[in-house]
Amino acid sequence: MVFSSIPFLYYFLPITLLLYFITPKKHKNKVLLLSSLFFYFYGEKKYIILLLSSAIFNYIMGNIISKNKKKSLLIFTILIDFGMLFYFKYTNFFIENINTLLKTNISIMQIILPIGISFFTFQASSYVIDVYKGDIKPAKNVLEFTTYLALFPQLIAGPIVRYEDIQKEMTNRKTEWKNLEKGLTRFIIGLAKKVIIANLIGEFIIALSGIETPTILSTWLQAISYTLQIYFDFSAYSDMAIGLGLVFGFHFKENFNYPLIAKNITDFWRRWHISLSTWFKDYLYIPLGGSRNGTKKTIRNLLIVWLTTGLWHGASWNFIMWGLYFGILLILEKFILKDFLNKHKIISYIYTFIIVIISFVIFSLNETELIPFLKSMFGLNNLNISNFETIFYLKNYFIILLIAFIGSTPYVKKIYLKGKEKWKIISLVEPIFIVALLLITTAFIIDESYNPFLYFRF
Amino acid sequence: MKEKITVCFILFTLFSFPIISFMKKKETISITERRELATFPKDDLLNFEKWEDYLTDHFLGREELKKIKGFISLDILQKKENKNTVQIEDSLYDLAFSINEKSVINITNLINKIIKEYIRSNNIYYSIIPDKNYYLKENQLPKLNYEQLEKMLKDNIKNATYINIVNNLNLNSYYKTDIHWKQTEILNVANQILQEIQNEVQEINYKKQEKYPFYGVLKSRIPNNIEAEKIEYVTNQTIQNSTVYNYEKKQIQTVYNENYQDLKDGYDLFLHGATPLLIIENKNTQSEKELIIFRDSFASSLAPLLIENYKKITLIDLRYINSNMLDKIAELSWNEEQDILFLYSIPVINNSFTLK
Repeated sequence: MVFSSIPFLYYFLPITLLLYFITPKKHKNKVLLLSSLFFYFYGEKKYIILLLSSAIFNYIMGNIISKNKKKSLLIFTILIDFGMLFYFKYTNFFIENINTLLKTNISIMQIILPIGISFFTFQASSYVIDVYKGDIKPAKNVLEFTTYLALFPQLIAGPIVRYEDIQKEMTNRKTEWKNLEKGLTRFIIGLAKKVIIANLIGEFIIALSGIETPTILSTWLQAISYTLQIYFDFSAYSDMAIGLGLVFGFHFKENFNYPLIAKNITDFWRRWHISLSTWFKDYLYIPLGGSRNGTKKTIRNLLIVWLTTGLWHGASWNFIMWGLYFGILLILEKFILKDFLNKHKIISYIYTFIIVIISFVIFSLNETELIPFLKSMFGLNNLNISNFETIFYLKNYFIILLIAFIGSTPYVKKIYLKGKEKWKIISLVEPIFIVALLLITTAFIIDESYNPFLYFRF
Repeated sequence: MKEKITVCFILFTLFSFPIISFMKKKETISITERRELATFPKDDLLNFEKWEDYLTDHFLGREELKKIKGFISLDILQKKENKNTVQIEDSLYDLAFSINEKSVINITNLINKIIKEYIRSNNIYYSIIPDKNYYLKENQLPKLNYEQLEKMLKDNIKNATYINIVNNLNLNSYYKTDIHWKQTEILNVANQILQEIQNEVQEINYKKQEKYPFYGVLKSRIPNNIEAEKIEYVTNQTIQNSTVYNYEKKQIQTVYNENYQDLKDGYDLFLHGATPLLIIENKNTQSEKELIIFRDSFASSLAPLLIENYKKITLIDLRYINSNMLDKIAELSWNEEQDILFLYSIPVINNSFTLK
């Protein structure tokens, strides 16, 4: 079930809220678990067993490991978790490449990728690693752990919530009006970001990729739009997840911090999909030795981390290229460009802007489309600078692009909060504004055919 | 206090809409969208896609919400189109995309396959119906490259003669609120086709009739106030005496559907709308000539204008019948005397994977 749908918004969510708030405190987790399982079952009927198996297996292994801290047990658990992820996500990619490389003819398997598998596998493995390291105590019971793993606000598109972040809240959380207001408001703003901004920019991309005669301007607009669409879609899902978490009394960590104003790529990755980058840092980069064992090993570690980061996003060469692209740039920044970029702020912003835009071109296009597209962007395909079609579509989506640009900076929030301090009327009309936004978003959901779920490959 | 008000407002919205939606009387059709609304999935309760369609189709205030969305899109976000539909003066246009080469190749392959496998006659023709955007002035809307598409068809279709009808149409040949052409404006097209196929044209007298109001498919996509059109059609003794056999319904029908007020789509006036196979029989003629048209909805209004010259016109819509079935239908026969016409509009040619 996706958040931006009528069944979720007006049926699943109110029924879950009603059941949750009328249920006594000690049974609230059961309501959350049952609703989360239904939420998953709605979209992935047969893989509900997989989700439950993963929860039970990791719960049992967590308990065993907490009592018997053998590394072999940890390795066994991680191998099973990632073996499952590999089977569902990478088997066919592996077979395709073996076939190409060795000219064999191994049949592709009929495997459907379970939605959210990368998220819940990463959560489950972080749990057992943390239990092994003694950073957390194991979950009290399988119900509590399954609720954590299957918690519907973050189940299918993140953020990756670590057990240590919500362990206390699993058993002891309060229902407060303040949290309810903040959570519901954050959810509705996230919903509007997804349905109005990300989806319309997605339509702009479709229009640009379908124009009769592409131009240099149309390819740049398409490239910029890839970045904006992915940012607004993904950060919107995080907003909705964090908001819903808050409604139920959970405080999930922030997942995005205005990444499009980053001053370099290192800064960008401190602001983009924070839960994923910190996961890789804590569970892969640091265990590999991080930057403590000299330049060569640091470079090796960074390349391993970014290769796996790329692969995490999907079983395809463009994701591997995307990961390595960032890996190489981060190495360059760390060892060569750092001082220069710190001294030249304007150049560093332009550099980051272009690097990020190109990165999402790599992210969005397959290997065969990529090179011709990049050549078009840089005027190497004999395209005109612009034409009527490009300008027509630019005008058509200009306001939404403008909103997206301004909305990707922290200034809107800053100005709004200042205005709220200065004029009381803003606070007074806020409830009306939020409900109006909910209704407008509903109107877009009702009347729009383009409402993609971008995380089916994750 | 403010927190409580905000939460109550939001929860009231989240709860009241589904409760009232659930209680309100369920419509069966959407008049503005000219389609049947999804029904309760009582026989398939675990099919959540059907649930989604049902809950969305019967959501409280759906029509009003669609208008709000249109208003926000066009007036606040200053978009030029809503749901790919653009208004220029008092006419609506479907926003064109570029040529879908795979689709064009697909339809040419399909035509070649049918010619090779079924058709015994040598009188084979094909024609393209341009979308109305083609007749707009330059730089009013992005246009599909018609000439390139025409060339692709000419290069790939074998053993059939091309009939170019472009010059017999203009912007006024199409409805303002619909993608289709007006029957009263395509008499020249009918004459041209008869001229090129039969090399003879006889003067035919028609009586003009009309139905009102007519709102085309494009009107449902844009919330603007646009005047209703009238739908004009022509008839004469031959058309009135002709019978139409509907293969799907196994029924004999009239050429025009007189129950206009009951139609979801006003264009279904012509030959009662979309259906896999129709056979029009002219009871007034001594001629034995027979025409088979492979067609989309545009041919529904053209076929009555050709019937005077034929004993029988068969209309085959491959969106609803598989081309592999054509030798298994008892009502269909193939001989060397038949005239064959492949007549497709640009939207279908550019989206031909709907053809089977």
